Amino acid sequence: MGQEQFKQEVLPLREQLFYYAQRLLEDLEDAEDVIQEVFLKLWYMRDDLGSYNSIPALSVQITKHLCLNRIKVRQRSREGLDTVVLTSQTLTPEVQLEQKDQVAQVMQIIDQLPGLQQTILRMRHVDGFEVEEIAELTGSKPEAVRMNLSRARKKVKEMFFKIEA
Amino acid sequence: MTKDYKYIEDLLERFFDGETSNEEEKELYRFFSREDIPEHLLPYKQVFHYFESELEEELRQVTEAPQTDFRTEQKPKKHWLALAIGVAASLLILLMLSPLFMKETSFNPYEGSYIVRNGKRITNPEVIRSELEATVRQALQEEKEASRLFTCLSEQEQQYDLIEQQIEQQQEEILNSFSDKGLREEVKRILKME
Repeated sequence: MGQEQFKQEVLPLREQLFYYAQRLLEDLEDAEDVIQEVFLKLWYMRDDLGSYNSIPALSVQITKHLCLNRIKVRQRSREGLDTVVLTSQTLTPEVQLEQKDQVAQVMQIIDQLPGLQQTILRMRHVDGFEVEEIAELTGSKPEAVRMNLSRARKKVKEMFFKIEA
Repeated sequence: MTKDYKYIEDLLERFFDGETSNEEEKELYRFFSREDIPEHLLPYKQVFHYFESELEEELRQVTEAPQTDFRTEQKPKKHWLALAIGVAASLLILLMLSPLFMKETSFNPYEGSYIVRNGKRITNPEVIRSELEATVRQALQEEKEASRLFTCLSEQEQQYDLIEQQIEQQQEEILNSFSDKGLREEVKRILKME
C-alpha cells in the first residue's frame, strides 16, 4: 500500500478512532498521542494491511490496546516509587539476575522511550520523513508531532548527559 | 568563530524543540563529527552521533520485538478459529450420531407396559406394541361394524313408523265410513283393543 492509498483508505478512520480513544482515556492530549501512534503503526504495517479482513477493525483493536497500555502506565505512575522499591526487595535471586541482564540491555536508549516517541524518532532519523510528512500520515497537526519529537530528543539527550555525569 | 557557534547553538535549540529540517540536521551532524568542537558543546558530540547512526542500529535490534508482538496479537485469532472449528466438528458428529441415541432415549409411550399371556408376563415392548396395535385395529373395526348396524336399525325404525302412520290413517278412514255414532264408538273400541 502506497502513501496515497494509505491516506485515502486508512486516514479517514481518524475521526472515529479519535473519538473512541478520547472516550477510553478521557483526555484529549493522550488521545491525540494514541492516535498518532495508531497511524504510525498502521503505516509501518502498510504492506501487510491487505491480509487483514478489515482495516477498520484492526485499527480499532490497535487503538484499544494502546489506550489500555496508556491507562496501565498512568496507574503505575500513580502507585509511586515506594511500592516499586518494596517489590524489588522481595524478588527472588533468579529475577534479580534477570533484571541485571536487562539493565545491561537497557543501555539501549531507544528502549526506554514510549512507543510513539520511538516511532517518531525512527521516521525522522532513519526513514528521513519531515515533521510535516509525519503529520500528514497521522492526520495530526505538525505541532502535535513536533511536541513528541521534541520530548523524545530531549529524553535521549538527558540519558546521555546522565551517563556522562 | 563565536558567530558560528551562535548559529550552531541556535540549531541545537531548534533541534531539541523538533523544529529543524533534515538539511539543518545534516549540518549539525557535520559540525559534531569535527575534531575542533568547543568545550561547552562537546557533550553533544555523543548525542548527535547517536541520532546520526546508533539509533538506526538500535532500532534494527528493537524492531524484532514489536514484530513478534503483532504475531502474538494474531495468535488468539487463530486459537479462536481452531476452537470454533472444533466446536462445529463436534456438533456435526453429535448430529450424525443422534439417530442412534434417539432410539434409546426418545419418549416411549409403551414404557413399563406388559401383557400377561398364558400366565406369562411379557414386557418386550415390540411384542406389546404389536399386540396393542392389533387390539386397537380390531376395536376400530368393531366400532365401524356397530355404527353400520346402528344405521341399518334406524332405517328399519323409520319404515316401521311409516307403516304405523299408514295404519292410523286407514283406521281413521274406517271410522269415518260409519255414519251412526253408536256404531262408530263400538268400532273404535274394537280397533283400540287390537
